[in-house]
Amino acid sequence: MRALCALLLVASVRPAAAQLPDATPRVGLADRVSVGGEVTATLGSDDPGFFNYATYAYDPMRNVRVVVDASLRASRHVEVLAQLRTDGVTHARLTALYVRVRPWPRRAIDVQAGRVPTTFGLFGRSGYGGDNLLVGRPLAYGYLTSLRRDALPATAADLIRMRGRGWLASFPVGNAVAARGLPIVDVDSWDTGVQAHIARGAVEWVAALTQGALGSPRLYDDNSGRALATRVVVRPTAALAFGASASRGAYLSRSLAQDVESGAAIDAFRQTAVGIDAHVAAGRWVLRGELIRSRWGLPAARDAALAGGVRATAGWVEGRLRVLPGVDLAARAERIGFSELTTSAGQQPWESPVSRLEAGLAATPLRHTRVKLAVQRNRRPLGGRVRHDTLLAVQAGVWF
Amino acid sequence: MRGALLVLGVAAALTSASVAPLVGRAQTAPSGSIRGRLDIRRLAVLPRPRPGVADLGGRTPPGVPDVRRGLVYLDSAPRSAFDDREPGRAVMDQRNETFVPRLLAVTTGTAVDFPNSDLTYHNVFSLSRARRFDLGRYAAGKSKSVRFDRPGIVRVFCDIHSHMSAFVVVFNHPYFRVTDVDGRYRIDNVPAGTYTIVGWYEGEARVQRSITVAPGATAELDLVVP
Repeated sequence: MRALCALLLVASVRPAAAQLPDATPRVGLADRVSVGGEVTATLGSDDPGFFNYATYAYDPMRNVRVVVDASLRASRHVEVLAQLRTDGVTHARLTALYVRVRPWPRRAIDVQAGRVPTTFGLFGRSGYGGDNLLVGRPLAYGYLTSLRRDALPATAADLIRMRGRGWLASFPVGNAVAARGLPIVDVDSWDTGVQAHIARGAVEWVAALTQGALGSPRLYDDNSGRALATRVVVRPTAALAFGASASRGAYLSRSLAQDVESGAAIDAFRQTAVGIDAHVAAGRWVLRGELIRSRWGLPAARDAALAGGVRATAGWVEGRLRVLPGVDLAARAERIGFSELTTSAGQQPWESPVSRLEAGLAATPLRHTRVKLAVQRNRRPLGGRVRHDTLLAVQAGVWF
Repeated sequence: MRGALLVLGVAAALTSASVAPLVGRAQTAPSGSIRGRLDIRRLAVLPRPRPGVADLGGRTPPGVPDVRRGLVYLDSAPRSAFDDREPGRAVMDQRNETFVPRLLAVTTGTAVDFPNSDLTYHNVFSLSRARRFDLGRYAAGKSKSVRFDRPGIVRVFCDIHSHMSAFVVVFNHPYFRVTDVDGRYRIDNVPAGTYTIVGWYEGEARVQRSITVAPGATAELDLVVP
């Protein structure tokens, strides 16, 4: 960390012009600043099963999202990047703020420090609605399980009782106030730490050391734990990309420290995830999919059934076909399955499996505008007051 | 709105040549030339690539599009302009995430090749009325072509790289020239007569003047785009 700080300091204090080749004209502030953004308005039917809620603050199917990205290139080596995002009119956040350092401008080696993009997975960095082929996001990137960072089930039965209620879960240990659970991957918030990126030929590698966990990114550390994440992407051709990701980080809050078994540190309870993904794009087709397996460690002082932790396996595949210039058809199929726990009622999954089919039509009437119409069918057979629903949504977006 | 009207106006001018020839056939009419300079006082500022905030690393900066060239054309053309011609062929390359050239002027019936000279995918498309097309994604070393059969302005984009844009301007007569980087142009073999000449830059007809071409002579005309 000290080495990184020293590198940042050295790189940033050198006069920018002195680092440019002699033949390069001096560039003004306007040439160094780049701003982009997107406004997306979504109007969908009510989501009583909370299948799309990633936070309780707003309904993503009835939302106006404004995203503003900005970068300031301080020199050939240093760039500062930020993203401001508002959902509705009240939920504004600085979702990214970090410095990117490229020690050798001719080499694709970067170090990023601050609130950095999610390292894990194929979908975690989709910055714009246009990157999403449909209206809804893959379930693995937002669907809320009942696990929480600040509350714990005492027994397996407590956990099973909360199946399908991740949008407002409560447990007897820790914070007794009902609140949202944790997704497998939280892409609404990015984690804070240091990230290194190297690209050479057809191979790209990223590693990150951050504060939180995959499903619980944090701005500040609250459990003395660190998250390690890595991702490798191989592109044998421009049409094809294969990725593999892994992440491990402590996810429980320090407020639970006195509630775990004696002798166990709070940062010993980690979320560990691995994933593989593939992306194929050629001609009028785009196909991509991903398989993620996540495990959460749980204190088992009161119920040995929790000793092995709990697991989730998520898979999704989606495709897009451009049927006419500016007109796309898209569809996605996905499912999350959960491991089983032994209770007095027998073996039961700790969460209800959830599946979704979504299909849509997207039109680009003008450059930098897109209108989508999507229908989404959700199913969650073992939990929640609403176990299935069908949603219709229209989304209009413009970006600049 | 103003921009849209201007674009429509230019499109109408490009097509009007087919209905408003001014002089007789070129085979019988002596011809001259027009030359001069299109002085572009303020170069266009193109949108910069969007900040890569969601990227895991830095990107190689794309190439800088050449915005120094404009287009000069006759608003109305001699009848000889509409004689049958061999279909032409032109190239608009994709290099360093930039269309090269950024401005291409062709006659109707011309097929334009869009090779991909980058290592990444490109997806050339246009939503313009004069030619709506989408070539899909294709990799380095591959090329696809589009034939332009209707006069008009065709704005060309890449579906993957939002900062990439270019113009293909399609005429149904041959009396046009894309200027060089200093704005100079020369239109030869213009049948003697009086014409309206137009200076065009970045999607809009910016300036027009009347000019008379004498047989065997070269008319000089400088145009200023404010």
